[in-house]
Amino acid sequence: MDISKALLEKYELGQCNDEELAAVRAWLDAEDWGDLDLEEDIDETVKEELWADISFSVATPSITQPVVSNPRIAVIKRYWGTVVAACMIAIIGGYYYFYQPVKDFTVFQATNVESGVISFSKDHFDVVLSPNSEANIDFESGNISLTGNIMLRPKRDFVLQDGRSNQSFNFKQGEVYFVSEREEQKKLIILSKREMIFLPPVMQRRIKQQFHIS
Amino acid sequence: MKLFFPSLYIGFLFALGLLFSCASPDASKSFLPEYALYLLNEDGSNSFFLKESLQDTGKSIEIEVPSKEFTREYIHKKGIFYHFKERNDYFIRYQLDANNQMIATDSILFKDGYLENYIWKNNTDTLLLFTVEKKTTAHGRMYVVDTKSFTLLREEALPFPSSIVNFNLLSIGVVDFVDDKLWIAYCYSKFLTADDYTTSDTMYYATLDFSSLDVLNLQKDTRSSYPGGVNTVQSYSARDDQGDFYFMSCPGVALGNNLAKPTAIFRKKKGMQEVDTSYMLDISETIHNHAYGFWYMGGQKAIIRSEQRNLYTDFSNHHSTFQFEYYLVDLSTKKLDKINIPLDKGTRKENVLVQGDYVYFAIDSEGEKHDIWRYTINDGQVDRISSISNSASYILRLDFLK
Repeated sequence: MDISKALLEKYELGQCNDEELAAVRAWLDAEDWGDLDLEEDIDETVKEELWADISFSVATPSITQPVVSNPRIAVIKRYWGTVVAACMIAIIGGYYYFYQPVKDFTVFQATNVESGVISFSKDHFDVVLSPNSEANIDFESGNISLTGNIMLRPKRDFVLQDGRSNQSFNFKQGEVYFVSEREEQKKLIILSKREMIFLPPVMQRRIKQQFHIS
Repeated sequence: MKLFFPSLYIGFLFALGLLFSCASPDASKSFLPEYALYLLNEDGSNSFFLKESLQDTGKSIEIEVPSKEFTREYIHKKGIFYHFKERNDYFIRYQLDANNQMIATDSILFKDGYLENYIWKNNTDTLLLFTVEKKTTAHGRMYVVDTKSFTLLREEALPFPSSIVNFNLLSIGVVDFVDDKLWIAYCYSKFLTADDYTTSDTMYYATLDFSSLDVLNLQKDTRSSYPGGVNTVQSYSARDDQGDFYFMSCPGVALGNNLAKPTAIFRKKKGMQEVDTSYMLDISETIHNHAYGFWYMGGQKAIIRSEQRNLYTDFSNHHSTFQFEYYLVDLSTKKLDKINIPLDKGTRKENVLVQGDYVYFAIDSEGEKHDIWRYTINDGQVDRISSISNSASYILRLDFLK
């Protein structure tokens, strides 16, 4: 028998029949409740979906090189205007086709003016921006700067420097980081998710609300 | 089900072990632990370190926490653990089984909330829990749980305003129960900017009739700010041998963030509904720092845990800086004496245990040391008596299981 939230509530109210009672008791005696989701883990799924959606829409465009044949000069002269237009298109297209993915790889820039969180999935990391936040992560210069708060999940180890305080920070793959800008102190506060238990309860709850953690 | 085959395999090895050794290979698991240390490890995981003795003698075992959402904010009594799972609002009971693994044995569904405070009603099996609503953190609620039958006896909204002027975040910091009356110390905070907050200059003390929750008395106190704190994380109050009730205020950065106010200890005398306005033990005035954590030792003496503002910069290192000192406080003479143990790290910990003639401290000190220190009450002698698993990063709690 499936253990549902409704069934557990029924159990708590003492309204279970014998079969249901046996099922719930067996489940209660089972070793690990961590595996049994009493309720959908909305936050994670939403976040994952968001990440999936966004990574799909911003995914590296397929690198199909525009095939340009070797045109004869006469043809070029005759269709000069067209050639110029074609070149323009090729250059602009090329910019988007080739330059954009490279830029995407080294520089990340995003702003969230929405009232909810926004998530992005990149080659090096996943990131969630809280409302009214802006993030700049530049792997070329190795700098991170932001306004507001973000959650950052590195997909590999890397080092980033807070440009204002000149402090370097090692981000480790698989860890989740809370990065918060402190304007008055002119620096970033970077804590791993496990260290967030040391923040004042008022702050912990604010962050949980901002990122829909619970 | 996924554990079926591994357990079959382990069972097989176990049987082989029995055949060849004639001694139970499970003996290491089947001891009766007396102490539990709750750890935050280097790799970010949490675990329990169970010990037969706080000395280096006796058996010990490190076990997993029962679920990844199990936090340090649990309630413990005589080997039974209670934890409020914030994600789905289930209040869950856990116990150690014969193999010293922590297993869930029952649950109660609460309304949504953050657990703020708990108290055992008249030292019985009735547990009173106090939460604030998650969305606003402005509405208080009380749950009454019979822990013997593990049933919810009652749940009710607390009659406190959801804000005072524009301070709109409620904290239920200290709770006491005497003569069928609840006494609750609370306060209000507010955000100044997106990530900076403060707490108002007033501590509120309400006396409520337990059955009706009618407010019988309301006292305002502006001598400090932010009474107590979340008492699953750390203790902030106690009743002394004479029946007087003491509690601490925590306006420092780690709780109230109203730095103009002093950390202080206040008293509610036995039989009185109101806090004694003639008594205030000003800790900040004496040590020029804020403190968090109050453990009563007996004989009008208590232990407090204080930060050092010249050592940490802000929240980026408040927890990781070796800065925390322990003072012995004489509640009657108001004298403070520093206890000679190494500087500790970790913002807010429940790591002080008073037992008989000794006070035990679980200390995370410089050089990746995680040790149990023992203070002898009679002569003030201090000894390091054992070390804990070196995978630990912080010992967040020290509980006696009997």
